Amino acid sequence: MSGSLNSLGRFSEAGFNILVALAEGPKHGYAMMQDIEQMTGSRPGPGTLYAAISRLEQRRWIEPVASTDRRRPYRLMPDGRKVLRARLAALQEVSRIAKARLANA
Amino acid sequence: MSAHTGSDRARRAAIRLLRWYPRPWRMRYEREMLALLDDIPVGWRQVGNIAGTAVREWLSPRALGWPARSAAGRLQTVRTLTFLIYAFTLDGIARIVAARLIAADFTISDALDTWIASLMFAPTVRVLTASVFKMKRVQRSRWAGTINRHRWLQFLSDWEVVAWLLLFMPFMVLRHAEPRPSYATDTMWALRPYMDIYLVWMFTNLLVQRTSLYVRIRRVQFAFMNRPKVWPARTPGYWP
Repeated sequence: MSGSLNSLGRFSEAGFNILVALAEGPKHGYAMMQDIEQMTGSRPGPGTLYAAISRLEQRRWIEPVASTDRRRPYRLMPDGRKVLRARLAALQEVSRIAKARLANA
Repeated sequence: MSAHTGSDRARRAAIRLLRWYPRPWRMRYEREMLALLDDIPVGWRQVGNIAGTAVREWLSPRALGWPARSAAGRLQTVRTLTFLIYAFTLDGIARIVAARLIAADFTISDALDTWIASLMFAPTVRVLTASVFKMKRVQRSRWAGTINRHRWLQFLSDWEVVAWLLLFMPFMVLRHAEPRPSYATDTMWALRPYMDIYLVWMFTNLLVQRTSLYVRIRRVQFAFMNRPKVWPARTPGYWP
């Protein structure tokens, strides 16, 4: 199931950060949290993190990896990769336009 | 790896708050969330975050924990739509009848008003007693044997519900036919049609909650919610 990150509503930013974190490889909740903190400078709340994970998992953009540990790792699915690529392309376009406008100002 | 640098009280509160999440969510994510709370420093900000998302999960349709594609899910949808259609139909018919009564200069006497309003007591008392007979405390009492021998005491048959629902018609006609009372403000009067629909909806739900069909639906729901905790290799979300 493909779609847009905007469909996650208020969890779209957390969802995006999770997809970016998982692009490197499977990670569990705590590892994702640390990675997101390193990338963005702020740590998502545990509730927000799992609300976003549940929504990403429901859309089959990520999936849990079989594990006997309580810390269950997740990995990025092909649909999730597509959604992430689409969002990154949109952000690059915004960034290009913004840079051009700043240069002209 | 543990990072217990936050407040212990906040951590305990956060763990307690996980019980506020919908059961299907807890069955799927509680264990992982507990592991995460073991790893991170938990402060009151995190507690607030968990409480906030618990409310959001309850507002999400997934909170019902019902398989959307299952028979129980479909039954629930059909039931909800049927009640809504019923409420609007009943209200519409009552409006037409009331308009005709007004056109024919029919006066509603106080006696008729009282009589029709008192009609509503019988089904209400019936539903309340059925609910009381189903209570655990009553089921443990010495009358439990007698009560359980007569199932009709605890459950309403579909026909009984239909019969009780018909009583609602004169009540609704009366509501539409009576003139605006002196105490009714403009806002109250404007909101009245919505209140009427809500009244029918509430009353119908109250009655149907004690029917055998509804009890069967609830049984399916509880069977799902209390299913054993299994952790398959690939879980496609906490959708059942």
